Amino acid sequence: MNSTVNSVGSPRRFLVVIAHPVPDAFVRAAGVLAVESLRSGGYEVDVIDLDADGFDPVLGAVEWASRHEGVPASLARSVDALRWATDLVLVYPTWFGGFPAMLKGWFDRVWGKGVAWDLRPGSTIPKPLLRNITRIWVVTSHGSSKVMNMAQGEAGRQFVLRTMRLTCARFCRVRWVAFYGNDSATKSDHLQYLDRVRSTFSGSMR
Amino acid sequence: MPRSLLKHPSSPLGFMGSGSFVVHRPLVVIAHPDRDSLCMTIAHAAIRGLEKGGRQVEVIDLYAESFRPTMSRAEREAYESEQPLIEPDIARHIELMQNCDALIVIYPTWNMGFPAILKGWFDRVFVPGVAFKLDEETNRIVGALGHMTRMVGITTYGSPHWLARLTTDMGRRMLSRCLRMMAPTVRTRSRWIGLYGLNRPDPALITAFIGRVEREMERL
Repeated sequence: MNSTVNSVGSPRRFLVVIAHPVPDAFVRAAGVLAVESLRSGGYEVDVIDLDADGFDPVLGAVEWASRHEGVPASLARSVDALRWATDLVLVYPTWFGGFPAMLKGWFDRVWGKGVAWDLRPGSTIPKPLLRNITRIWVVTSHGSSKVMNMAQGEAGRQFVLRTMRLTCARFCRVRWVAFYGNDSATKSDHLQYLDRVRSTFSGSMR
Repeated sequence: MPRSLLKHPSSPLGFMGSGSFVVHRPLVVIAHPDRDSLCMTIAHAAIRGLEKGGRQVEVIDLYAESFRPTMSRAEREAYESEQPLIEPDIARHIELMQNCDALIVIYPTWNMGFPAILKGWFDRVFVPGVAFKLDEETNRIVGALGHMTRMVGITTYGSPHWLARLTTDMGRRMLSRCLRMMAPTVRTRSRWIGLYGLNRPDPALITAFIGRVEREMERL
């Protein structure tokens, strides 16, 4: 792994994955703010904007047939970025408790065998491969309140905390930077959240 | 307790009255790219079982229809407004969804969740004004899926059962908790039928599972 440090003396490299169809969406603004804060802190940041790139989230029949040989070469951009990063930042709106189809499709296609996990011969339990990712950050907006989300089971959050973390570094940490109650939010709530995002992604991180 | 209270469909105890759980018009949603896969075999068994039970089955095969799972910019902007934008490709899906009394999804579990095409189906079809309304005063979601008495997930896993439960199974959580809250939760029951451990498949188990799906769907 590349061990060079950046201008602030930290080896952290951030991969930011953004998924939202509307260019001026609130959660997108929060994501852009996170990227700007990281860049002004001197960190290396790589951004994958799934909607702007026109990413195809559907894993098709051809890809399904060759799934045991690994992830296709056409997804090399995402695969290389994942192997390069130490921090993964997910920016998305929470729809029905979880990722939008676009981001779920990115996981379906990229988070596959040979990239995120592998199987030992005869075993049914995946072995993690993304040991380089030591921290996951989630910037997301929920329409309903925290209480309502807890009642609904927070499927997306549980996925990040449990499923995703299993394929990353052993003591991978998750920072959940979420905005709840977007359906009833006022402008000042939004500004307060943006401040929180800015302070979360500013300063030194080791 | 008066019997009328138990039988009335809008009563929270309505499920205790006779007959409210009998499924007549199930909607089967299938999401698998390969037509010859195990998941498709299971889907055919499920449909066979439902038809044996005398139900009028409607089927949506998302991959066969080349369904577009991503919400477009216009659709998302309409989502925030009063009037949902219903594209021609989902108009039929919405009609089927509103007329069914049981929703049965059949899919392979990928990364512990729905394939994107199925997640996108929920994103695009279950929109405000169709699946729920947002109460103006309280900002609470008022579900409009009361016509569904059953939500059934039939799925295949590469991982063993204990690992799927440990990682909390995003697909199961989404269907049986989040989406079920759009319906009167007490009356709408969810049923989960999973085939686990396919990273090391056991032919005997698979055959038994297909038989089980057919039997359970016949009795639904």
